Amino acid sequence: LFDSIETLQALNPEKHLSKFLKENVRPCKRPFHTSRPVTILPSILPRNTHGSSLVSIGNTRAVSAITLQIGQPAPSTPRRGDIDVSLHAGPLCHPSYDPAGRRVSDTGGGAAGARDPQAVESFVQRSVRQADVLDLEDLCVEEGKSAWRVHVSVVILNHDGNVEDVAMLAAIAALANLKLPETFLEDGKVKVLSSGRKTKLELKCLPVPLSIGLFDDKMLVDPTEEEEEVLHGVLTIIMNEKGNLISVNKVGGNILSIDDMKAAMVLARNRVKLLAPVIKSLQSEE
Amino acid sequence: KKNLPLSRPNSNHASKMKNDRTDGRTAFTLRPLSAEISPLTRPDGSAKLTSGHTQILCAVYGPASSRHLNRDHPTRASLSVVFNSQVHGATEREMERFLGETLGSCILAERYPRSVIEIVVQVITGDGGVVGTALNVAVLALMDAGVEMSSVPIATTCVFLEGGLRLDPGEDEERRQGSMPLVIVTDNAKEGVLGSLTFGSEIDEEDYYNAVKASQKASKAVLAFMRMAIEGKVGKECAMLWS
Repeated sequence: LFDSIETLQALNPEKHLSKFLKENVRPCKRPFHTSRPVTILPSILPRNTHGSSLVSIGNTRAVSAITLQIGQPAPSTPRRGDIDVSLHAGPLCHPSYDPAGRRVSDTGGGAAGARDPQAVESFVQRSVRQADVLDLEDLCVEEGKSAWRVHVSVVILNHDGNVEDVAMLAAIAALANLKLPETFLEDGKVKVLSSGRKTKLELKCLPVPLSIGLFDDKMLVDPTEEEEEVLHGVLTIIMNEKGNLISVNKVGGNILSIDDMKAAMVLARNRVKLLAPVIKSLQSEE
Repeated sequence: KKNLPLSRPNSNHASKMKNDRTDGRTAFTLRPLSAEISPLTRPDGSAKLTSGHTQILCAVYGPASSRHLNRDHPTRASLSVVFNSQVHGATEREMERFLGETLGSCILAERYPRSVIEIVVQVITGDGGVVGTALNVAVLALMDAGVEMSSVPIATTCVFLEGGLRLDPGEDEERRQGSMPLVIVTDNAKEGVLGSLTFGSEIDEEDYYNAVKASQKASKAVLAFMRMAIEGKVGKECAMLWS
């Protein structure tokens, strides 16, 4: 009926994916439980920022950069600084985004909502904060008066699926690369010594994300963009280097039994074994 | 008042068990539930659910033709969720996505091609379990609107306090230092996880599975309550029609 695979994909992407999955193959020819190669490059923007990285999973690529501000800590936590994550996805990375970073085409249904940049930003920000990646008290400058506000900006450069994992890794890699400048007090105001010694902060926790696409009863690890278009749901697990769960987010998709969840946890654990040492090695980089 | 049947501890054991709950409930007891079906006349379906002090109102419009030309899908309904409350650092968009996808996986969308189903959730008072109660009240409102569903998703909010797993926490229990609230959505037809949302830091894998099992049990009680609420309303309407 369809004279080419491309025609089927254009007219009925769900049937296109389902045909492949029935033969136990993915359109990208990857095995179900394999992720694309991950590359993490630190200090990609050394001059303007205090920590940066470029992360890519396959063709999905994001750059992250840290800018610092001095702010006043909340009265109930006089020694604590703050971490703030913002995410931007514009027309550069995918045609369905407008220049303001909002989704333009809204087909509704399917896990296409995953590509809503505000939802991804919210997820990455609260995961970074919840995972207790940095000891916020390390950001104290003067107790009760000033502390660092670490602002991580993540920009998606290319969207080929699984933006959540890439954005999360980019934010963590930038924080691993964070160097705080030296400060001194002048007339009661905090001044930054730009040429002074820089302090590297140690990450308290190394959270590693793994997103698994759900289609019928199949689990597709690290979905590509064409798979994401028609997925029924997504399961994102964030696990730290100790094997504890930071986050288990399942949105949409069929019911997963406890055995299915256990299988997913095994995949997440393997991911941690692979990526946690890489993130840790970023810390010892100069 | 909904109480899960618990194995009765003997008095010695009870006095040794540390009760760290604010209102003195036992670990797996849910707060009292009450519901009002069709409190609003304009929407196609509406419901108000009260769980303890948390009170949430939901309105469902649809299935209806979409207002924007590009928004409809040729073979199934599209879902749109409006939720105006931030929960534990998660913005409205993330919550809208979670509710939309979870409900969407249970709604028989193929029955309503080229339509839009709009679900509007309004939190009147929030005292813990906001996301879970929002999902449950949306289910009631969808039933009231007559939207066909393949299964009934029920959300249970759990929290891990110092003493262990506790179900249906109040706001102060959710916000305690070191507590980890999570929302598990289950379906009575099959065992397992339909949806899952976690807040807070580290949780042990075994603890997560225990939360899933406890949510499965608790959702049976919530489902029975929902059935009672809907049957009550339908019964009254039938009596009125035939009188």
